[in-house]
Amino acid sequence: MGWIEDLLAEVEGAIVRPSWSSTDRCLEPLVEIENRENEIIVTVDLPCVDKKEDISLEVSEDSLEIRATLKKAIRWERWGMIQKNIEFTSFKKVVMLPEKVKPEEATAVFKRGVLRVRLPKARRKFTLKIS
Amino acid sequence: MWLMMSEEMKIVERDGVKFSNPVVVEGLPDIGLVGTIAATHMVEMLGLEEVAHFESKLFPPIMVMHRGVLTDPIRILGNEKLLVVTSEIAIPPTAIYPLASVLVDWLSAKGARLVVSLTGFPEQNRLDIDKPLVFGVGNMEQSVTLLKENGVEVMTEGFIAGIYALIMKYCMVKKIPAITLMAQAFPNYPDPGAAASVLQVLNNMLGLNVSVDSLLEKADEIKIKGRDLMRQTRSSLERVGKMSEQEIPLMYR
Repeated sequence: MGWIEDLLAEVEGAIVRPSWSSTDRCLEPLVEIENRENEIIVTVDLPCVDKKEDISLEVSEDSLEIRATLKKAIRWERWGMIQKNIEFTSFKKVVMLPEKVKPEEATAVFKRGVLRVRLPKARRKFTLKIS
Repeated sequence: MWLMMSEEMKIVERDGVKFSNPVVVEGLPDIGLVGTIAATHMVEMLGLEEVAHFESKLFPPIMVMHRGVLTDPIRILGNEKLLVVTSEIAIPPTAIYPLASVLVDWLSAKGARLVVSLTGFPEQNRLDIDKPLVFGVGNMEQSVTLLKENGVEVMTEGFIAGIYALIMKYCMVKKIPAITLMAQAFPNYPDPGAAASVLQVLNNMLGLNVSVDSLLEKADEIKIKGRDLMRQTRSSLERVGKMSEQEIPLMYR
């Protein structure tokens, strides 16, 4: 790895945001983005979320917003000074997509606490036959 | 106080601790935080106390508060016969070599008779797996025999990358039998189910009785609490060539 990548990784580490917000009492879930040839797959870990009805998704051409209600509010009574007084009630995350997608063709599945959203790319590739 | 040190790293041991050829379980942050989750659960269930901690300028300047007591984040807990190495922060890539080296020197000085590393094996279809399988890697014939005797499928070809790869290598130099137990795991999410699988194999292998029921009951809570460590670990693993574990080695013998 070059020094620029090292420096960038260090800077990224230094400015890392907290994974929670006291303003709207939400936690940020862990997200994986897989950029495939014809689609983008976003996978989100949503522990403590019971059923698909507790999740709302908003998709645009270049972003996916996930909100999910926790089955019960969470508070860590021994954590930090401010944090111990916060009751977290939901997950929230806005994912900026690496390429434009067709939001109307997106599909989602929620299984064992993991949400998987498939977003077909707006510009898709097709196999061409050689005559 | 007893010290084992290199130029960049030292282990600071508490006074009055005695060792009797301990078995060592290493659970540092890696794929799915499998080792960290399993090691932390062992420490809780067996009521293990700190016996030593690591210090280095290669670590970020972080201390942890637990029940009002200031604690180092990378520690060794245990008793005369069992030691558990664990960390509450991701190990920076620059610290991996000196940490593995100093740890194995220290374990050798304490007469460790077996080192077991616990980790995850990235599984793309983890979502469809109820009970993750556990595979093993050994650093010498004796270790491989131990894996086979306990019904663990042994990996015979492939890359292993990360701190446990170095720990096994340095143990080989010191002639300490070492194995790594790897459970199928979510690569980028904390995976208490995979941690339970490696603990069950460890129970059989070492004759321990660490119940995994409470671990599985608290799985959701562990996954939520583990998000930040998972994020740090993910960033660190990307920089140590962890993805090479998915590659096919060219040389077959």
